[in-house]
Amino acid sequence: MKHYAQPIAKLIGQLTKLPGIGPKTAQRLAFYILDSTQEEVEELALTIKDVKDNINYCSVCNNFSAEEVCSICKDETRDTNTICIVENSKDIVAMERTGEYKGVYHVLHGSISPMEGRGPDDIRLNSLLSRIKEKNIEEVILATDPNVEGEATAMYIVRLLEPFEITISRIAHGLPVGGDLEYADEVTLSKALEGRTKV
Amino acid sequence: MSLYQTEAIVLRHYELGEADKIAILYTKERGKVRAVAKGVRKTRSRLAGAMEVFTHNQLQLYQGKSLAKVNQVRVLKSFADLRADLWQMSYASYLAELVNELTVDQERDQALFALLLTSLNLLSKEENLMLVVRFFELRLLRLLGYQPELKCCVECDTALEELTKLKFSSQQGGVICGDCSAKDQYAMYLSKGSVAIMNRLLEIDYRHLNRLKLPVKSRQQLAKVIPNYLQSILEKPLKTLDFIRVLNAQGSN
Ligand SMILES: [Zn+2]
Ligand SMILES: [Zn+2]
Repeated sequence: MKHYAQPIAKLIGQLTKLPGIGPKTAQRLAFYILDSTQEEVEELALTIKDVKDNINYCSVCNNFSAEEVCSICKDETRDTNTICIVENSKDIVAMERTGEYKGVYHVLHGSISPMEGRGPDDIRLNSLLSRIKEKNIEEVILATDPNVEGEATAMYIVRLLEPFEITISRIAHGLPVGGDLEYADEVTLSKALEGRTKV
Repeated sequence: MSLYQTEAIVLRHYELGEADKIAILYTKERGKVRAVAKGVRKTRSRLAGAMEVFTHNQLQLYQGKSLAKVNQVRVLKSFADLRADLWQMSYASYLAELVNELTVDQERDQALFALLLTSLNLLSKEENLMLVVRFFELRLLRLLGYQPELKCCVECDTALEELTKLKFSSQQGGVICGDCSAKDQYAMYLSKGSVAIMNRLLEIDYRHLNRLKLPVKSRQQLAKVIPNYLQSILEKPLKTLDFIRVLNAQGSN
């Protein structure tokens, strides 16, 4: 890195922090940015800033949203008595691609993990509980990842929701064990949703 | 650089790039090994399931300079039941964290491998989970050369039978008499009954573990004393213990 002028080295350093970006890719991206026009670079910088400034959490489901309430929660054609619980906003995109699901969501923004010492307080469970207490929720579908953290999270939520009279189900069938939900293809995910089991 | 076959247990894994994972394995042939598992997050490869934590595999590994690569895999036991209950999962995670934290890369220890496999089997049978965990901790301590002194005061050598008040000193690594315990302000209370259970756990054949009784008092004492001793050896807190503490506090036992 010492062969680069300091601002370039700094940019490469910043890019390396991004997920999935190694030093080689960071270098390539940095030089691509250097080769771009002034306008292109400014637009990129502004877009990045704009995302951070204008995207908040939906006050209902915690999904990323430009408005107070996200487009899914606002959609009156959706069944608000069914909540599908996912780890990340990315997983909503995966579920929506199936076109099968008509309910609403709850985004935990993480998972619990004994290995990482990440406990129930580290994910958004309180807002889930208040939703269930206040609204007439009939069914909760657990769509956390089919890996250890996802299973731990699902098990914890099942326990948490025991006192309420709700149907709780877990999508599982056909999902590759050890994988990430966001990488599951539509067919697999549709089947998984269809074949959800009561827990 | 070499290609070799080994049994291995997956201790944990990290995400690597878009689709890969680095698995930390405890292998029978070469101790702790870090291995890259290619494409496990994106594809429906059998490798993904095989790289889940606690899974007991027969692997073919290719050892590179620092990382190994998983070439072939055959699942011997998936231990899926350990991932289907929050308590079993938490305790199995604790075992895996201990092995990961207390061993160094590429140091073969077949007794340790056998201990881990045996203990995971016991946990999956839903034996007395606490007893299995204590058994594992003490046997692990002995294998690693940290067996606590339980026969006499670790400071003044007074035999256990002659002691009236006793405590456990993590700092000194053993039981300590009332007089000597002034030297370690963190020494923790431990009854003679609990010491007897520790001694039994160090001798017992694992197949007879369920014959051992663990009274509530001793269960509580040992759940504090032994993990505390382990953390003082490691000189850092264990993440799974934090997690277990939170679970306990929420009364979901
Ligand atoms: Zn929303
Ligand atoms: Zn003494």
